[in-house]
Amino acid sequence: MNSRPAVLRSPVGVRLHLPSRIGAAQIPTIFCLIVLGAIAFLVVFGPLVAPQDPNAVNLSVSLQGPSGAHPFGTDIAGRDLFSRIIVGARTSVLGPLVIAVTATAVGTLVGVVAAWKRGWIDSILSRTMDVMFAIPGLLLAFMAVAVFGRGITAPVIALAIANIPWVGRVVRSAALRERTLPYIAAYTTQGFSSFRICLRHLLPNIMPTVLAQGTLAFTYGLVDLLALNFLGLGVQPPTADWGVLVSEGQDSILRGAPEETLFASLFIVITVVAATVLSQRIGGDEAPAAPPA
Amino acid sequence: MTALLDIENLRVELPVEGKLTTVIRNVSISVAEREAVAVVGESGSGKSMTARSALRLLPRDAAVSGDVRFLGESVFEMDSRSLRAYRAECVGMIFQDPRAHINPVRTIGDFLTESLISTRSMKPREARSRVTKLLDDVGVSRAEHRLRQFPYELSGGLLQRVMIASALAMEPKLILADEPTTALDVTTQSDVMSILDEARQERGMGLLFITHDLELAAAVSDRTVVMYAGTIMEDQQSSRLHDTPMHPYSAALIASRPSPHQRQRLTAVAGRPQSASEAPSGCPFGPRCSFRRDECSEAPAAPRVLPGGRTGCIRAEDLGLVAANQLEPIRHG
Repeated sequence: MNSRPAVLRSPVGVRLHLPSRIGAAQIPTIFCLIVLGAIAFLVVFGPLVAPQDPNAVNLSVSLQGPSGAHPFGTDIAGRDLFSRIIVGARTSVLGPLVIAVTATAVGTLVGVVAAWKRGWIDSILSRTMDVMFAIPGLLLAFMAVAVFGRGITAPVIALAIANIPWVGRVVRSAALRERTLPYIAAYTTQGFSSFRICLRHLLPNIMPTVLAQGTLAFTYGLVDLLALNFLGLGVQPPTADWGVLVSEGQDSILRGAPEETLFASLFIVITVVAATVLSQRIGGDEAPAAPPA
Repeated sequence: MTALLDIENLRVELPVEGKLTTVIRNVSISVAEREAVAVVGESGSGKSMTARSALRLLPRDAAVSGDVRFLGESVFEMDSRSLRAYRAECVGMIFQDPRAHINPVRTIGDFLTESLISTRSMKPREARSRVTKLLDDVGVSRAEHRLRQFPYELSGGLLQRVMIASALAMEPKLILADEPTTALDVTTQSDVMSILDEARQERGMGLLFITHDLELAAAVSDRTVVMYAGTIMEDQQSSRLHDTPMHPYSAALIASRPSPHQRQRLTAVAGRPQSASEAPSGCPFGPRCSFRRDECSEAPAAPRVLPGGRTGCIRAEDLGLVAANQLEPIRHG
């Protein structure tokens, strides 16, 4: 770990990436938080703040460029793209959020149990995770769609399961290192139960890693779900979803109106980059930067 | 009278690169109620391992024989529930490096009150006022304020006092102190040690004190056990160890301490310390001992009980290491 000013570090080697004061080093973190906060606002209040009905068709204004009435222009059916993107935030972000929360919760449980128990329990959990690594998340999502039909529920569940080992493996290694630290032994000598030590003491100490992995799971989920929506397997038109917008906008590009694909892609990129940078900030330099294959 | 803690014929083997390696050989130590026993020895002599086995804190793959009894009950035979209760209620442990042994992300208050709240079902406010008083007792000023601080905000000496307070909080019958002052500077060392000693005597607790500091051992303990290579070399009253050691090893240790009054080269114990696995059969100190005879390689691993204490040296009588000790008999085993 490189030493970074204005990052508070406890002397035992447990990393707390909490800013002791707001300095230049925190600007990217704060910027990411503002971006994600704005997107969260759209998720919650999107339909209320959208200036126009996202599904109102008006063929007389089809494929217009950005203007005062339509800041991002209109799509082929004359629908206001600005409104569609604002409303589309909900389906685009909620799905990945469910994926991230589920995968992080289950992955953390698996990782901590494996690291704490060791022995055959660890072997079973770790080998199971290894096997799950062999199956790409998107493939699992395709299979889920093939079995349960189109829609958002089946892919979300499939991608949540597929992301468990990515969290579990990293949490396990963090917990393995943490459990050998003397303060854990000190709690054992005080007669605390394993459950209590893990929940109240080990987990808070590996929280930066857990949060970083959770944020990464969010970005993987976001990109994978959008890919499914782009392929027409997830959220169905006319629901405004960023992936659907990118897909629908393809035809318009050839007609000289790239706005639909462009602006939808821009929002995807902004969200993914903000979440990724944030995950690296809170997890410190140890958070793996490489995305899953 | 049953001893408070009775370690009997303890033998511990640890797997090193797939092979079981002996780290403790036939160690028997007993601590009576209100008694302070020091265990001294070089690094790797097995003294920490002995203390850990008293709490059954040995690695899972260790092969252990012998027994550890607390007030007559075998610690090795306890189920997990009574083992937890034993660790929580009966024994308080003080570690070498307080900074590493206190959860860095919790406040001092959380650290001190947690066991009172969870094990004793005390109300948080009650527990807080209790530990505030404890911190006062161990010489921590502005205790109320300290409770809200995090470990990194406290100095090492202060943190070790917090650790002592946490060991005292459950009012155990026995305190295990594993080199409690090694990580501290010398002036803080004596403060911390006298606080620990005072608190222990006031509360009538037993103490098993692990150290490599002979002076410190003599200052705070009734009895001193000298260990070398996982074996007990000798065991006698601390006040007499300095003048009348009962084993050539202790004699060599005492002779090798620096003295502020004499200007001369330090005498070193010849050779280098050996671990229990390297040491030869018989007396493990044999290869470094200037009084070695052939029969030393057949010496029993457990020390002999003599009127003044116990010694592992079979030549103790020849060498005149016993005569001076026969002043008063002492209790052991």
